[in-house]
Amino acid sequence: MRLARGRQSEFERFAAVQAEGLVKLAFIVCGDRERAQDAAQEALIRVYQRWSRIDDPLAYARRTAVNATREDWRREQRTDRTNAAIEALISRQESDHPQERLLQRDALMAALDALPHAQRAVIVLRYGLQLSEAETATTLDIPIGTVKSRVTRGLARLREVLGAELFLTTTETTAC
Amino acid sequence: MLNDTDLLEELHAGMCERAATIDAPAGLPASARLIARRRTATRAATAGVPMLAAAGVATVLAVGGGSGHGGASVQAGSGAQASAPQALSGDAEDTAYIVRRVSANLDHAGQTEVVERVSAGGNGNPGSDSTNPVWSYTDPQTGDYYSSSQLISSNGTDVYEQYIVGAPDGNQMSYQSTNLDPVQREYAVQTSVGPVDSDNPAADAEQIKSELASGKATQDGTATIDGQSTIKLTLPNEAGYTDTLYVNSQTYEPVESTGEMVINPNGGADGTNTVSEKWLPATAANIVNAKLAQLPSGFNEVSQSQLEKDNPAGR
Repeated sequence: MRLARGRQSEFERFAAVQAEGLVKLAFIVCGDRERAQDAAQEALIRVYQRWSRIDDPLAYARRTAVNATREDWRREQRTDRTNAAIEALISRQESDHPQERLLQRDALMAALDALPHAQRAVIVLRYGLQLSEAETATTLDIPIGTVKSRVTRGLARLREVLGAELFLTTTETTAC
Repeated sequence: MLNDTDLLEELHAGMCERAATIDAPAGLPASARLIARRRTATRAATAGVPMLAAAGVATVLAVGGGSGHGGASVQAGSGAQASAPQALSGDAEDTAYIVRRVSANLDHAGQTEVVERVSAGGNGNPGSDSTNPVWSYTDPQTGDYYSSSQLISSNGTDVYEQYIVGAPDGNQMSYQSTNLDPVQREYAVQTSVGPVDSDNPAADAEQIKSELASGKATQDGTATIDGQSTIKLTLPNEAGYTDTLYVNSQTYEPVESTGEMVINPNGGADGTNTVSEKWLPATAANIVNAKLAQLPSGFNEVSQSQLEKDNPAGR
């Protein structure tokens, strides 16, 4: 229910509370600080402009922030980062470096960055913000079935990109 | 091989690690609001949508009074010297009577005054505080609209300024927005035709009337504010914080309303946010605060995109 309160004051409260989370969400999705901050700001701008018309400002803001990270996205950079992370992982494994788990995580995040934006957004909301499938669907304004399919394809892609042999080695060496 | 559970745990951990390395830049909410207002002026992005420049959580009204410019206090209730709550003359119907009188005054309040609005605060993170003073005025004779805004960082640096001038153009307004970056010493000018900017005192009055009409206002003693004897009205808010409205005890003109909100989105230090708003007489000394008299010397004109590129607050 919308609060019967001044538009600006309600917006200010909303923005003060949510700005941090929006920046972090955008940063997880895109991995670029400047773009993440721009995306969060864009989300707040659009929420402000539509404050009297939107029922769920947070969902709208998250959706806008996620969408705003899609602009200017350059596949080449993603690929470069992914390749670099995987190469680093292989190199460290060969040298029996003790930080395999962290490197695995780096590679995983690089692989996440390399996912198509739509899949990445769903996975970040589901497993980063830990939203339910229904909440994720509401936030992104897509059907639940689409959430499920994107999660399935995204996770499959992560496994495919990283490769089973890399996981095998690192997981065994970091078990404790 | 990494199973699904491990994969998801690693994903979550990786995302949390990444998120922990970034914070919201100081003043992000304020800069977003500034940009939204500029877009309204330059792109007519919100045509048909009323923009309630509403009373803030710490609203300060000074209708027909006030000291003029430069005195905006962002401290809730700073101008009030409250006395112990005391019974008013009359019976319990007084509150309803007072509310009616105040509401009647609000019908004409704010249509000719200069409005000074200052929001300040942050999210509790070090350096996240910012201050955003806004002055606005609509000439009742010509319908011309003037607004000035600043964004001041936690260390007191004036990082962004915005001046909007609007002139009636049929059923719309012709706007010119001059945006300054005092740090880079750059400015950009944008013009457009858009809807009438409802960022005006009348909208505030309507919002306050709405609160008063909720029937939840209560009397809570008296206070002396700037030498005026006032009645203190408490206005509960559904969001969990409370505004306090002071009205002149003889004329029932709104004098001051205070409040604040404390947030803690990070689990660390509390962030205290205040908004103050004054409706001041339309004297020349007050009106000038809503206008850009002239561009400061030594500023270079650049495109808006360049300004935004150079100044994150202007994005």
